[in-house]
Amino acid sequence: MAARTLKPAAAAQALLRDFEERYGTAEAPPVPVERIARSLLGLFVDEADDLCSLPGAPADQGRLSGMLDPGEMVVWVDRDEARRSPGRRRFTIAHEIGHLLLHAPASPEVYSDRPIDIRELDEEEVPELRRREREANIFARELLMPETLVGEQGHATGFNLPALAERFEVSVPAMRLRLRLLKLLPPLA
Amino acid sequence: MRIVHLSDTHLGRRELHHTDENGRNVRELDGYEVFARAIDRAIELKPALVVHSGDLFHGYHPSAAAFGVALDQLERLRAAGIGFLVIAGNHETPRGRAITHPFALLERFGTDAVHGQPRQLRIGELSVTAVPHSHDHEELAGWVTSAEPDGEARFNVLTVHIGLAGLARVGAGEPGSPELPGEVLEAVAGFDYIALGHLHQLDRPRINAVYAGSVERLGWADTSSRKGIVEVDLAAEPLGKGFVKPHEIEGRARRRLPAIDGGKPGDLTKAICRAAKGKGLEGAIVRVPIADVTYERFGAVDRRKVSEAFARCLHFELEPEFVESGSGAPQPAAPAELRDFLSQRVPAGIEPELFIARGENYMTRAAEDIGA
Repeated sequence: MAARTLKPAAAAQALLRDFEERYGTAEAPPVPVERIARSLLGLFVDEADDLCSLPGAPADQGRLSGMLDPGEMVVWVDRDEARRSPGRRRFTIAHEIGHLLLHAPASPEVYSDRPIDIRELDEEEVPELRRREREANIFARELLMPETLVGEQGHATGFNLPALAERFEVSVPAMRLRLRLLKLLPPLA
Repeated sequence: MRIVHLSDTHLGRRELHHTDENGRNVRELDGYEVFARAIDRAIELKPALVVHSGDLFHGYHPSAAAFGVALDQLERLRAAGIGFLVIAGNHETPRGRAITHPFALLERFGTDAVHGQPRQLRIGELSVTAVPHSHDHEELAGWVTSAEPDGEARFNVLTVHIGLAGLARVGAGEPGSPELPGEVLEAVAGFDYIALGHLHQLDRPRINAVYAGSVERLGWADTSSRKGIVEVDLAAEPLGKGFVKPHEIEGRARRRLPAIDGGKPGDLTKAICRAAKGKGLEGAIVRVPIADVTYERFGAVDRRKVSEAFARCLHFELEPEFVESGSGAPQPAAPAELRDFLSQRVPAGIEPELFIARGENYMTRAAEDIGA
């Protein structure tokens, strides 16, 4: 299984390779993040109206977007947020997988994430974001929008931002950031 | 071959309640001035053609003033030997066939003003496929996806007035606004350039597709760092720097100042007045956010002093973010905020003041109903 490295992007790439080798899936978007969680990692993905009410959740952090319980191997996603944005739901699941592979082996605690912790957009805007959250976001970005696949699809579509976002099932701002980080974004975009 | 792309000028749009000495809406006049500056710049650039990608007018009953400004500026382009082509946007397209399209009048004065049906126009080695707005969005999507470049022309431009799914909907908040999936751009990928209108922020959703954006900020949601027109060199490499070049056009400043902490001890009126000493506020439209303020504290702000402090601005308004005060006091009325909110949502073809007055009336009745 993956997590042979603690570098977030490399860990995401290794996980994708494992999944493709085991299930022989085609390299085409969207990345089946829920299937990876369920079939490859044995995680159960569920939704709840109020994650704070779940066992092990902190009561003092306000509303939560996602939560990972590595002991029970469950990823919880905020139901309302998931309904409003399927792209956000996918990003949250990917973020929690990041915690599972990058951080849980050393600290098998419950990982609870506020909306601000799960950043599809620019993390520079949140300087106080904790290291582990940054790493989980980098992991999620690489898992949902793998560099090679984004490059191929980007060139094939003339860097069509809304089409790429639709194909990868992420938000346009998340895809815009990804292209910018990969230095593939045309000027003005 | 170079063209200039501009969009969403919304001539005739009124906003806020400020008038000049003749009783004319200042923001309406701002729109005319910025349009004239955009034409000044286009004339300097000497393109083969200026393409306007829709919403030249704010409504389908443009006033004589708005129409006059349009004709005057188009005459300047004509005198400079620069072609002009405009497609109808959603704002200026009547919903009923019984209403004469304002572009029918523009056509009588010799302007290529495309409405009702798509048209392909040839200007030397350039072919422009012009797709006007249709309130039937299926028809509009069909027009876009079936558009084909002219094989005989050296350069092909498509212009269309649509939103694209997933992009920030700045300027496209009105009901019934057309929004198509990003994949439609793949159907027309063969055009050298796609001049998009409708969304108000400069953006490049595809390598050959650009929203020029509105020529000035028309609402608080528009956080563009620059506004203006786009110069396109159709012979340049699309991924190169010379293909599209934005040219900034100066308009009235619209500034949301840094939030004042309303929970901090001290004189809140003084804190707000201090914010008025910032640079770049002369003649600006200014909003002052006040975070974490109680109803009581906000109600005690000395409005006269604050108004005096911001007197050099065209318009200022406070934007309180209330915390629970525990007193059960009703939220104070915020007429300026309500007017601004309503003025940005006037449906096409409706007299803005009538719409705003009715909205204010509803709010007053709602407040009376709950005993506020």
